[in-house]
Amino acid sequence: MKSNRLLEVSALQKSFGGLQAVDVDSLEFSKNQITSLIGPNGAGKTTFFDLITKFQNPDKGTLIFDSQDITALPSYKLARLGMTRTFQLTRVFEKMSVLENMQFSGSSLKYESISRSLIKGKMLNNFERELEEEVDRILELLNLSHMKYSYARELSGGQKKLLELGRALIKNPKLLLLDEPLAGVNPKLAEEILDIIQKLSIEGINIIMVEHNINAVMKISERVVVMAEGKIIADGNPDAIRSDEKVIEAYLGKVDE
Amino acid sequence: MKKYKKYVVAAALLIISFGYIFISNETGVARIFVNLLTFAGIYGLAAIGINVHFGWTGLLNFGHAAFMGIGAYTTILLIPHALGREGVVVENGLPLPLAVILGMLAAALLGLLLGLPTLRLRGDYLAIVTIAAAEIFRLLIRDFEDITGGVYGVIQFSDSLQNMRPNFITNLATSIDVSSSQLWVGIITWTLIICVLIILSRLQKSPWGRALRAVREDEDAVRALGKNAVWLKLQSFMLGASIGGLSGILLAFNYGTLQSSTFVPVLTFYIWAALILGGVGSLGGPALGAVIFWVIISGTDSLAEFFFDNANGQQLAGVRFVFVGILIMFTMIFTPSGILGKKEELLLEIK
Repeated sequence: MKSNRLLEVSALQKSFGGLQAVDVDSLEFSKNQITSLIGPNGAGKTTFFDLITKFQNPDKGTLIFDSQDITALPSYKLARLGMTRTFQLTRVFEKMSVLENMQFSGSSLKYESISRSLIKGKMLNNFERELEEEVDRILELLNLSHMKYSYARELSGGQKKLLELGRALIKNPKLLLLDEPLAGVNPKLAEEILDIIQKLSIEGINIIMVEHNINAVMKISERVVVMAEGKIIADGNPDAIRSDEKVIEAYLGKVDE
Repeated sequence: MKKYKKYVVAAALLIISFGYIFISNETGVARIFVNLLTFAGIYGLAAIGINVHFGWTGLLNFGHAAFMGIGAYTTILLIPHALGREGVVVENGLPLPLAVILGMLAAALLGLLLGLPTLRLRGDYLAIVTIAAAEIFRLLIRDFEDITGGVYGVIQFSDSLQNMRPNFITNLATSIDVSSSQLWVGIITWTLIICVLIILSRLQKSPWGRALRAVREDEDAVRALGKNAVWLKLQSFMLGASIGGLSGILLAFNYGTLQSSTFVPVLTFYIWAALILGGVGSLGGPALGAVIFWVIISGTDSLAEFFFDNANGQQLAGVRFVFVGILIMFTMIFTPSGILGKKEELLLEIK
């Protein structure tokens, strides 16, 4: 029986000194959904992201991705399994061109070996040509075609977000983890990014995102998970979350009666 | 036209410096040129190795002398040689090409051993570990006298190379009055530089070279995209180390004797000076930088006459590096990316 669960997190804990940054008992992400993770600053959202992508090691807990135990795997192996993330502060390869950024992400490990790179057979050349066509297709989708040969550092903040998204897309991920994809992006570009995210979801890519822009979150998410002080305090569809008392309390503080 | 500007500058610099050497020496110009270009080639090859580490991958390796040393010692001890103090002669040995390959492999292996625990460190930490490792290596070589000849060094190994010298080179050397053995080492050195650069230019444009540049830019992003950054860094470390090993072997043949004191930390820093002058990250830059560096080294004797009436050796040694220092300062101010470096890829902003 094929399960509908994509990612299962259980008993995940991480503390820094005395601070319990993340303490999640059990959380499941199912396929074909846009899930948003929200919460006040310092709620542990990014740490949670780092833990499930293994950029930080959890103190305790198990992670199961697509029916496979990934708890002990290093981050790059998770990415190879189809779990690709972006970063809160964009991390493009600044002194490489947009094309090279995309090519690096899309190139296969087989052709990236030193011996194959030295020999440079016909197969490698063909692969690189097909890769460039794929890059062109994605850059078109992201409206970045005109910047193809520019250094990535010449891009604006929003364009860098797009490039990072594109770099993740070319890997055909099963699960895309977006850490604040709209942060520091102008409203018009934010609309575009939201459209792209929705389009990707329809194409069958599962998306989990951390985002502070509540309107955007409510507009596109099918499920919203709210974190505060490392714990999950609410979990449900956008309408339920909007009226959840605990959520309002976490964002606005306790109301004295 | 702007694209070619730096090559014009490079050519002009070479012409001026060679011209200066030519004018300032009344006798034995050919001899000085051969000496200069041979040393420059060897340092240039070593700088090309560091360039793979730093320019391509962003690894700060300050222990290059150890890679040069292990390459030299492995090769020389495998071919017929004699140990300095007791004069123990080892007549049997491997053929030279095989010994050279083993020497380069030994350097790559040292790179692997050094890299495994240290490549998880970043920037300046790696620099500290490599400089310490290089000193440990040198002191071990010095103290294991039975095998390495210790402070007395290794001698009588040059024949393996010099026996391969074709006659026309000997004739050429005699006709222009230069040392035939050094001319032969120099020709081999520059041939090897061309071979290494051809291989590297292929690699630089390949997916592998692209992956190294990505590691240089942002390791975390590399990992997020499913690439093993540590393995890429190890490969780069081993490749650069083996190029360093090759240059160490040539250095030994150029001196004709092999001593542990050759591989002091300052050797590493001369090579860094050559790399910075020539242009970090560029392909041919390190070799050009090494030539300029050695022009200053051999040109100072005459330059120093402007400062001292009768300069002694110690004063000259000091003045030499004052000039190198000033030149590096000017490079940093006017072309921070070196003579042949790309401005867009300026790398000396170490995180």
